[in-house]
Amino acid sequence: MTERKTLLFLALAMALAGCGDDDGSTTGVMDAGDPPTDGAMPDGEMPDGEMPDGGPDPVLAALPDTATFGVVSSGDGVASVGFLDASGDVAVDVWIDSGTMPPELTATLGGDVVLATETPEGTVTLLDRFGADLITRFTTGGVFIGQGRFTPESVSLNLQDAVILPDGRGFVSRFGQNPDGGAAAEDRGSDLIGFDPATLETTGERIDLSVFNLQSDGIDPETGDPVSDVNVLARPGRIVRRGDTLVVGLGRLPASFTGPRASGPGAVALVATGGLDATLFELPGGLANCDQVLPVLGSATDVIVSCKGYSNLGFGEETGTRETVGIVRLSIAASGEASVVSSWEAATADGPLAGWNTLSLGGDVVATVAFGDFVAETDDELLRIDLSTGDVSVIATGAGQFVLSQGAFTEGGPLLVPDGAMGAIRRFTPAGEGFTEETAVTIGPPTLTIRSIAAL
Amino acid sequence: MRFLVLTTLLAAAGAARAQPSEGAPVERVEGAAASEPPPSSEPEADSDAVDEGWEDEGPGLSASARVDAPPASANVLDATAAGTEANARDAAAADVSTPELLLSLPGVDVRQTGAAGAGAFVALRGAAPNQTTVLLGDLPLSSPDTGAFDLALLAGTAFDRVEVYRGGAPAWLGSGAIGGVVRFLPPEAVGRRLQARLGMGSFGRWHLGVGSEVGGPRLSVATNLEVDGATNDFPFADDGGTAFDPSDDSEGRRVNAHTRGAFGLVHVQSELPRGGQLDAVVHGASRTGGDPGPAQLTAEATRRTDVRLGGTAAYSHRFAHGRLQLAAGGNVFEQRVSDPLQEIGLERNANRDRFADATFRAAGSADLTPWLELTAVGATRTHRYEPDNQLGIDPPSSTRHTLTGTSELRAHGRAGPARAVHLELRGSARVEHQRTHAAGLRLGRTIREDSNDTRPTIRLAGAVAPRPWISFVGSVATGARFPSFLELFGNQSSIVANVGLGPEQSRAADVGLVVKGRTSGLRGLLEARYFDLRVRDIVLAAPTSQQTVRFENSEDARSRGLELGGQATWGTHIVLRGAMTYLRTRGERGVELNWRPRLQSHAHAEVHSRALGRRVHDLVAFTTVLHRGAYFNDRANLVRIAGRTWLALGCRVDLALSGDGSRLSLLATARDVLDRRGQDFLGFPLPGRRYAGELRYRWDW
Repeated sequence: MTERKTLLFLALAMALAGCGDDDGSTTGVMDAGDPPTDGAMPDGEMPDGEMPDGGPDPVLAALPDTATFGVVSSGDGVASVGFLDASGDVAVDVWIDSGTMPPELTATLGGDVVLATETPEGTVTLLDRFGADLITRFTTGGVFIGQGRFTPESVSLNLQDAVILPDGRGFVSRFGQNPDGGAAAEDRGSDLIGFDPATLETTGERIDLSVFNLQSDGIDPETGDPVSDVNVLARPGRIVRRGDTLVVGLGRLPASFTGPRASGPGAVALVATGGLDATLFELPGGLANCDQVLPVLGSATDVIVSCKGYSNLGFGEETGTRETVGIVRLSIAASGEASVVSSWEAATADGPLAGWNTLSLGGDVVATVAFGDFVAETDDELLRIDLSTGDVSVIATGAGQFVLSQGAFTEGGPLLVPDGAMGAIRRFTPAGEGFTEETAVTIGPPTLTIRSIAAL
Repeated sequence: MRFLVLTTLLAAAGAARAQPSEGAPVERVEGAAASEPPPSSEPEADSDAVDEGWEDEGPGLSASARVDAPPASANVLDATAAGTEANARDAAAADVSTPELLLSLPGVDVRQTGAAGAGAFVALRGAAPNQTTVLLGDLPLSSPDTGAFDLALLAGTAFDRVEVYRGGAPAWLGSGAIGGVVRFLPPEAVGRRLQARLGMGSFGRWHLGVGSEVGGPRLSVATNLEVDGATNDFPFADDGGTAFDPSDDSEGRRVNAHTRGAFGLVHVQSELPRGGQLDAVVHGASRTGGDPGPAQLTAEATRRTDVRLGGTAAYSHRFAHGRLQLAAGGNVFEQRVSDPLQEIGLERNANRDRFADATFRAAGSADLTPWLELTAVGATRTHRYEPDNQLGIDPPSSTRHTLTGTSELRAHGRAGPARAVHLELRGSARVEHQRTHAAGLRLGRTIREDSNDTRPTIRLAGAVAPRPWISFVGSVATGARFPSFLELFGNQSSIVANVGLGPEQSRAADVGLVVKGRTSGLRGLLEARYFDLRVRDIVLAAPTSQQTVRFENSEDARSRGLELGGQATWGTHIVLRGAMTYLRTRGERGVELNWRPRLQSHAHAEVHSRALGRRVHDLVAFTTVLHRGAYFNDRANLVRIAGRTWLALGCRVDLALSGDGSRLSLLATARDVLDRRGQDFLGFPLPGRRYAGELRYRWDW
C-alpha cells in the first residue's frame, strides 16, 4: 500500500468514527419512516391550528365513536393502549404508548398501566402504577386534561385505581405504605388521596385506610414456625362507586412479601363520599386477598368482590389458598350499608383456585380465571361461576400458566379475554348459559402482551 | 472428564517430548501464559516484520522448525481472533476510567448508570453484558451468577492493558462466552519505577494512585493502589415524570450518588531454573456509597457496598516446542445493599450476599509437528452463593461445579509462489459441564433442587497473510451462557424457580482484514470485520402474577455489523486512534434489540510537541469524540433514546524534573464539552460537562 493510500484509509476511518446517525431509521413505531400508528399522532407532533371550539389542541388523535373497550398491552417496562369496538373488533390499534412523546428522563407510559375502573363519559383515565404513580387524563377527542404524580419523591406507593365523582372530586387508591413512619400524611399511602380531575393536583383530602391494618398470626416461611403480630396492611385496590359510597377492595396482605406470611380477613372499605368516613365490611367465609371490586353488570347498587386467596404456607399452596378463595356479590344501600347477595367459596365444594381477573356477566354470574400450575403443568382455565347456585363450568382453557388476563364484558356484546399464549384477545359469544368461541383479535404492538381490557 | 484429562495430558506429553535444545527460538507470541509479557503491545512491535518481510522457507507448508512471525494482528494471543487491546499507560487524558478505555475499541459498548463509580457494563457485538466473560490474566473474574460484571470495581489504570476478544475467543482462554472475553492483564515490572497520580475534578471527584515496579533477573514485583471518590451531585433535566406536562420540568441534582472506591493489585513474577516461571496476582477492590436509583424516584437512604478479593497463582514452563501452565485462583465477593425505606426495591431490604469461587486450570500446548500445534486447556471451577436478607426470606444458597475441556489444533505455514503467503488455521472444540445445586429452608424443611447440563462449543478460524502487513481473517464459533442461580432457583419471593432452564446458545461468524505496518514515518494498524451473531433461547423474565416473574428461554436474536478500528502514529508528533461499530440487530417479531445503538464511534487525536528545551519533555494536546447513535430502551421498540456526541478536550505537559529519570506530568481534561449529558438507561442520567486535573509523577531508578 502506498503512503497516499494508507493516509486515505486512515483518514476515512477517522472520519467515520466522528460521524453519527442520530436519526438513523429503525424498525419500531417510532420510526420516522413508518406511518403513524393508528390513531396516534407522530412523536411529539401537534396538529396545526386550534380545535374548532377554540379549546386546547389535541395531543392524540380523537377516538372514534365506536371505541368501547380500552386495551392495555405491556411488557419490558413499556405499555400501549388501543381500543376495541363493542363487537371486539379493533377501533384503534395504538392510541398512546410509551414512546408517544420523545423520552426525557421518563417515558410517556411505564410498564404497569391500567385504565381506571370507572371514568366520566368522554374521558380516558390512565393509571401508571408501580414506580411511576402517575394519573394521566385525556378526553376521547385526544385533548390532554392533566397529569399528576401521587407519591413522595423516594417511594413508590403503587397507585391502583382512580374514581371521579359527579361533584368533580377525584380519589386515587394507593396500595403501598411508606416505610418511613414519620412521613407527612399525604406521603404515607394505604389510603385514598383526593385530586382535582381538571388539574390532577392533590386537594388535601385523604381517607386513611391504614386504620384497617392489623396484626395477625402468621408463619415464618423459612422455619415454618408460627409468628404472632405480623403487620398486615390494608392494601387498597380497585374502587367502584355506588351512589354516595365508594367500595374499595382491600388486599390485607403483609407489609413484607419476603417476611412472615399472614393475611387479614377478606374485607372491603366503604367510604362515604360526603363525610369521607370509612367503615370496614368483612366478607363471609374466611376469604382473603380481596382487592378486586367490580360493578355488577346492569346494576346501580351491586358490586362483585373477588378474593384470590392467600396461604400462609406459600404462594400457590393449594390447601391454604383454597380455604380463602371466593367471590361475593354485595348490594350497597343508599345509606352506604352493604349486604351479601350471594357468594361462592372454593373451599365449600373443593372448587378451583379461581378469583383472578374476575368480570361480571350480569346478576350472580361471573367469569373468572383459575391459574395453572408450573409444577403440575396444568393450564389456566376461564370459568363461569354462578354465585347463587355454586355451579362452575369451564368456558375456555389457556395454553400455559398465567396467560389469561383481565377481560371485559358488556351486555349484548362478546366476552373478551386476553390470552398471552395466543397473543390475542379471545372472543366468546353468549349462547344460553355457555359461550361459543369466535375468531380471536389481535391489537397493539405484537411484542407486547395484552394485559387487560376495560370498558370506557 | 475423560476428554479433558486426555487432551491435557496429550498436550503436556507433546510439550515434554519436544524438550528444547539450548538456544531454540522461542519468539512465539500466541498463547502467552497467565501474565507472560507479549513481545510488545505497541503497534510498532511488528514493524520490523513489515520492513523486512519473512524468510523464504521453500514451497508448500513449512516444515522448518523455525517459528513463523505471526500474520498482522491486533492482538498477541491469536492472529485469527477478533481481539484488540487498549491501555491507559501514558494516557493524555486525566482520570481515565475503565469504560472510557473500552469504548475506544471496535465492537465494544459500555453501558453506564451514572458518573464515576456507578455501575458500568460491557457488551460485545450486540450480545448482552452477561454474555461476556471477564478475565484477570487467564482466570475468570466474572461469574455466571453475579450477572453482568460491574466495571466500576476495577481501576483501568491499575492494569498493564486490557484485551477484548469479540466473538469466539482464543482457545487458550478456555471460554465459550457468547459475546466474547474482556481480559485485564496485570502490570509487569521491567525496570525500577515509582509512580503516583493525584487528581481532582467536577462533582467532588478525586483520585489518588501509587504504583511501583521492581524488576530483576529472577524476581519482579509490580504493585498498584488506587483510591477514589466523588459526590456525583451533577445536574440533570428532570421532567417530573410527566411527559405531557412541561410545567413541572426543572433541573435537578443527583443525590445519594456519592462513591468511594479502592483497588489494589500486586503482581509477583519469579523466573525459575530450567525455564519455569511462577506468577502470582492478588487484587482487592471495594466500592461503597449511596445508590440513587432511577432519578424519578430519589433514593436518599439506600446504600451499597461491594467488596472483592481475589488471587491467582500460576506455574508455567516453556519448552522449545511447547509450554505447560498450571494455575489456581479464587475470588470472594460480598455485595451489600441496604434499602431501609423501600426506595429502589419492591421491599425494604438489607441484603448481604456472598459469592466465592475457586478455579484450577491446567493448560498446555505442543508442536506435534513443525506446522501443527496442539493446545489443550482443562479447568474446573466451583462457585458458592450465600444470600442473606436480614429483613426477609433468604433465597436458597447454591453451589455450582463447572468442568471445561478445550482442545485446539493449529496448523500454520507458508504457501503459494515463493511461499510468500502465510497461512494459519485453528480448530477447537470445547465441552462445558455444569452441575448446579440449591438448598433452602422452606417451612422448616430443607428444599434441594438440582440442574445439570453439558454443552459443547466449537471454533474454527483462519488467517491468510499474502503480505507481511496484511491478513485476511475469519472465524466461526458457537457459544453458551448457563443460567444463573437466581434464574434457575428464584428467590422464594418475587422470582419463581425454573430448574428446567437451559443455556443461551449462539453461533457467531466474522470475516475481515488486519493491516499493520510502517511506511515513511507512518506506523499504523487497521482492522475491519463483518460479524454475525445469532443467539437462541435467551433467558428473559416472564411476569406471572402479583409482582412475581419466572425466567424462561424465550427469544432468539441476531446481531450483524461492521467494526472498524485503527491507530496510527505519524512521525513523532501525531497519534490517531479510532473505532467504529455499525450494528443491526433483530429480535423476536423483527424488532431491534434494546440498548444497541446502530452506530457507535470513537475518534481520538493527539498532537505531541516532543522535547521543548531541557525541562519540557513533551506537550500534548488532544481531542476525543465519542458518538453513540440512537437506540431503543425497550424490547418492544417504543422508547427511542436519541443519539448523542460527546466531545472531550485536554492537554498534558511532561516535565523532566532532573537527570535522575523523574518526570512530572500535569494534565487537564474537559469532558462532554458541549454538555450533551444523555442517559444509557432511561431514568439514569449521565453527567454533562465536567473537568478533571491530574498530577502524575514517575521516577525510573
